[in-house]
Amino acid sequence: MSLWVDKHRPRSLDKLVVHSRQAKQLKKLVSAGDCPHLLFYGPSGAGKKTLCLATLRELFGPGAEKLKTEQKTWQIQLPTRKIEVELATVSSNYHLELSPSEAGRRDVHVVQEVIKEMAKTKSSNAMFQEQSNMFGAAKGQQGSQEKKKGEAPKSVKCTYKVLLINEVDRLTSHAQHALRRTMEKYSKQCRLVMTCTNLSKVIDPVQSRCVCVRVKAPKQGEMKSLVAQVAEKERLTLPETLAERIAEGSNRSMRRALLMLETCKINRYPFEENQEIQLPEWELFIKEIAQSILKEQTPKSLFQVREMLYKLLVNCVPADLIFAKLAQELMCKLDDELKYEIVKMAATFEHRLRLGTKPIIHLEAFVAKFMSSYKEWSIRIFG
Amino acid sequence: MSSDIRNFFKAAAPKKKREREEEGDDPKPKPKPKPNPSSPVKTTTTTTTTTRTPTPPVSPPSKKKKPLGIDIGASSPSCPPPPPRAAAAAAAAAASPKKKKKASATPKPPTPKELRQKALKSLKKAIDALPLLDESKAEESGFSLREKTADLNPYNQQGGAEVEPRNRATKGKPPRGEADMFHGLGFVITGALDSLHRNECEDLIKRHGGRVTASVSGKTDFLVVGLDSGSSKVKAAREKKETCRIINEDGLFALIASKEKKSSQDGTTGALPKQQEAEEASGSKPAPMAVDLSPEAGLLWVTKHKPKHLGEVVGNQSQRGLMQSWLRNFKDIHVLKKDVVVRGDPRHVKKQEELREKKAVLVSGPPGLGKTTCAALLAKAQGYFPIIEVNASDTRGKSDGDAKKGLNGKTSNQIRELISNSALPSAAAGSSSKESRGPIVIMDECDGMSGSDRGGIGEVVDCIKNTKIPIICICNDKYLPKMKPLRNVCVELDFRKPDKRMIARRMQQVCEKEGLQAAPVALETLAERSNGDLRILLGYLQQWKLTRDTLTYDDVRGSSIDKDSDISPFKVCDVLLGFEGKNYSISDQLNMVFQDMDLIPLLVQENYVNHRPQVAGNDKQRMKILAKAADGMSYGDWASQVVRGQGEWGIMPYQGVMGAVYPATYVRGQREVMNLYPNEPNMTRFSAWLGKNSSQSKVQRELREVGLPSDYLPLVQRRLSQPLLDKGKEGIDEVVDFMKTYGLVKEDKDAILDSLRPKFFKNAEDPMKKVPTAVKSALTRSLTKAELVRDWTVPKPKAKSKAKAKGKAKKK
Repeated sequence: MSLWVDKHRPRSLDKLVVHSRQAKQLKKLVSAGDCPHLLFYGPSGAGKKTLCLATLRELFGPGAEKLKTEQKTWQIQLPTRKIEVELATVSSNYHLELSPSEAGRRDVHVVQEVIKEMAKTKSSNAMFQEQSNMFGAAKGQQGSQEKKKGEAPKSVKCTYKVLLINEVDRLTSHAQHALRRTMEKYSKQCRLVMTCTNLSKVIDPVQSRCVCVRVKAPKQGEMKSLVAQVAEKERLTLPETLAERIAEGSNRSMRRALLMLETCKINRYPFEENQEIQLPEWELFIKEIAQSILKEQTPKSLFQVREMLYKLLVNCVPADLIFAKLAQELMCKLDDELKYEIVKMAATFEHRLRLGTKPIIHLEAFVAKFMSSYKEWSIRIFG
Repeated sequence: MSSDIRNFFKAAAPKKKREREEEGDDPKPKPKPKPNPSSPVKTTTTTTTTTRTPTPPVSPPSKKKKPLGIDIGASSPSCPPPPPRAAAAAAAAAASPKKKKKASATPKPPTPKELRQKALKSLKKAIDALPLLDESKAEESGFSLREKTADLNPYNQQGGAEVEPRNRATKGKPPRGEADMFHGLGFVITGALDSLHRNECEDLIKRHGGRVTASVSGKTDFLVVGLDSGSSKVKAAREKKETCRIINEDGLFALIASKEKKSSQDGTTGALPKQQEAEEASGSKPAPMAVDLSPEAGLLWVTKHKPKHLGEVVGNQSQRGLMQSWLRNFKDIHVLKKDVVVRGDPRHVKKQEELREKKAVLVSGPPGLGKTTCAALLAKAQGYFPIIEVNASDTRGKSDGDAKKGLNGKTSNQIRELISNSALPSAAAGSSSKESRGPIVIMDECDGMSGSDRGGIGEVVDCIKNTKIPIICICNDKYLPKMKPLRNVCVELDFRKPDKRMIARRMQQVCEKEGLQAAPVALETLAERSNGDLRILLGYLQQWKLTRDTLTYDDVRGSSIDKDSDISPFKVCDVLLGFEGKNYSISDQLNMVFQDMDLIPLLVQENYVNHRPQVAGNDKQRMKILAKAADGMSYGDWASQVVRGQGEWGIMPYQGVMGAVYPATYVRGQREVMNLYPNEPNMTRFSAWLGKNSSQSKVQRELREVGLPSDYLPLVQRRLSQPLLDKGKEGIDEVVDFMKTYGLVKEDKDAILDSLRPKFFKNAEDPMKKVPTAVKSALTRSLTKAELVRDWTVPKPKAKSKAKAKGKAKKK
């Protein structure tokens, strides 16, 4: 009874509809029994993770789908002190998935110590295979369910394990640099599969060591048909207009579209054509922030906006998303004359945000600067 | 003894009196040229309010005041200042040294009135030469009144105080006159002066011995006006035109110039009191010789000038009086059980009652006031002997009840022995003579009991309950939780920091003794800065004396005491964002920021919005300034990451400047409230970032534990609550099933439905609100039954079940 997003996720490369071209290429790549480091990039909800998992399955067989979530704590000895890093990991017998960016500024230690440590050790089935020299056996279904120390699954044709690293673009540049060497040195035992939303934030040396796969967001039409497909599978009658609106509101994110569809189903079924589509609350809230910024440009309003921004941050809405959305919302109602300036501002402060530590300061600086420019402009125009 | 260092004392009474008069804040009759019948009345009122007793006036104008009660009452020259009840004994003690002083031929010191008179006289020529000012010719005279309407403009509330002077660049340096030429005169400044900032003008006047106040009163002699002068001040000055002259900056300069340092045309030489001459002489002669020979050489001034009798203690007279009467009556009430009627000020009746009942007093107050010294002196004056002082250097744990060792045991045992020993006090009880009242215990530094002094406070409380001798407890902060039991059994006496003038007067005596020539204004400024702490003040003066023999106002103006001491981050934030910050150089401001490199930028960030930038003329400019400030802080944050993250500590000054000094300089101005809610306090807020950051990391941790992408959560909430709403108890299975699929445990469910539910909008509804309680508890039960556990906690339940199995096995 999982959520539809997970329930209807294509499991194998063959079943992918939207990115079938990429899927075919990947299949070819993997079929040789070896796979280079992979870097999937594209907007959220485009299908990066789906591609990743499907590739893993292609490599290791269904065993890669037996997942175990774990909250792991690592103690890292630094020259001067000892730090503790806690990360959530998802692992199967063949791969391990983690998001080192969760460690914040300590991500460099995660890369240096944790990832290196994992990359160094050979996977258990690699050991086994070396011993028994079994290669390229036919795909089996049972082996994967065995425990690590047990017999090696017959299905596996490769001798390395895979590290799945999420959100590489959110790693600090230090951490990314630390990754470079690891990728080369231990490539025999370990391949990296990485995902990111913004390729430009991944340093070039890392990019050049990977096969970069662009996973673009599905087109509006594709979205619509996919939503309709899911509805059909769930045996629902979905009015076409609603499907269209969901596709529109989802911002071309598949994940969001399916979450929306399911929420709609819970809210009201049978569907109505003009049924309300629930946007994520934080987006609505940013809209409200944008409104209050445009309404009043005073210190008091700046202070109130700060409070609202804090609310977003406390609820772990990523600051760069806030920047993007806020700038977008502000620009909807803006004169063309100001637009260029605002985009420049947003970009400047978002850049500083990445360099700095406290998102609120940069968000507030952006808001203050916007208020100042907007006020000046409106006084000039309207007197 | 540690207590030695703590206190300062006053010199003999006559000296004290002289000092007061030099203070010169008593009213003076108006300048001779324009005698005013109304002035005596004014003078009277002021005299009554101050507790001072002027010596009989010598100068003619004071005769006019004779009919007034206060003057008459205090007119005997040899009469000491009216001693408060408490100081009566001290006054007696003080009598002899006073006589000696008299004998040593100090003539009566001039009263403030005389000083004022003298100063005015000496300036008469210059005053008469001053032109009358006319606000209608603003350009010429640099004098105009602020328009009433201007008061309504929020950007113009500062009046002339913060406006850049017009002729700042063109006008030369202000003249320099004799250091005491304005001694005894009062000034008020208003409006924007021609070339000086207001604080510079204030300095100029103080440098010459004058007094600067905020509003025009009977004691004001000059109102220095500029452009946009406050109309109320000018009006008040015009009403008092006999005493108060209105002058502009040029007039002030002319006054000072008339007594240019070298000028010998001093009409007042004759009137100059001999005593003052003597003082000057003693100040100029090299002090070291005399000091070196004395046995006190090398002592700290704090020790050397510790009060030797009560008359020398500065301030807190009423508290001292209460303590004294308590000490006097202690034996009669608590040992002899006599019914003593406590005489005294009706205002203190309640305290008096308390004093009669309780067997201990708790003296509290900031350090350096002389609490310990005062207690010891009072005890001595009341004839208590021996005085047992227990302070933080003694171990003050609980007594061990081992009475065998008697007086040789622990300190606490000794005390216990002492207080309960009826022999000691009662032996003296027979004789009512003051000399032998028996022992007294002074528990010093009560709030310093900790660690090794286990049960210390309890022990003291216990002692107090059983004591037969008085116990005086002393502490700095009586509001500490651990002091609570003590406060219940003690009479609380709060020592406050004395008035800066009283401190300055006392310091003046010390300086005289030590041969340091100090200007009264300088001492007052120091006293203000030391926050009433006489100890630190004396230390500073002694240090100063090592290098120089004179202390002028200019010496203490900018720098000194507070530079070495830590100021709190809040204070720093106030200074940086407020007008005060203007007086500091960038490097001084940066030094202040360096006190807490992390917190101060945060405080500035929190509070900068609340300040109305002085440089802003309207709302548009204000927003622009806010944007600049915020931009600076954004740079500062970046810099902080470079410093911390990359270890580039050399960047730190840049971080300080961009993160705090730069934004603060832009928004510097009056703080105002945002009117976000009623009764919003107008104060520096603490940074919200720390709190928000910690709740963010809490949410982050919970999210990680739940292990779902955050955009799943709204839907997951629905999936967890909707079946219950729709089907009641039948929906439970569906929920449990769902949780199993995603590996959620009960805690995760609670987190998702509560703390992880973003409450962006006020009307956000709790999805579980409408679920009946019965269903909720049924869900909880079935969740417990289902034994949902996190993957990574698997080992634990196994251990549990093993234990259970073992238990079962045993039972079997």
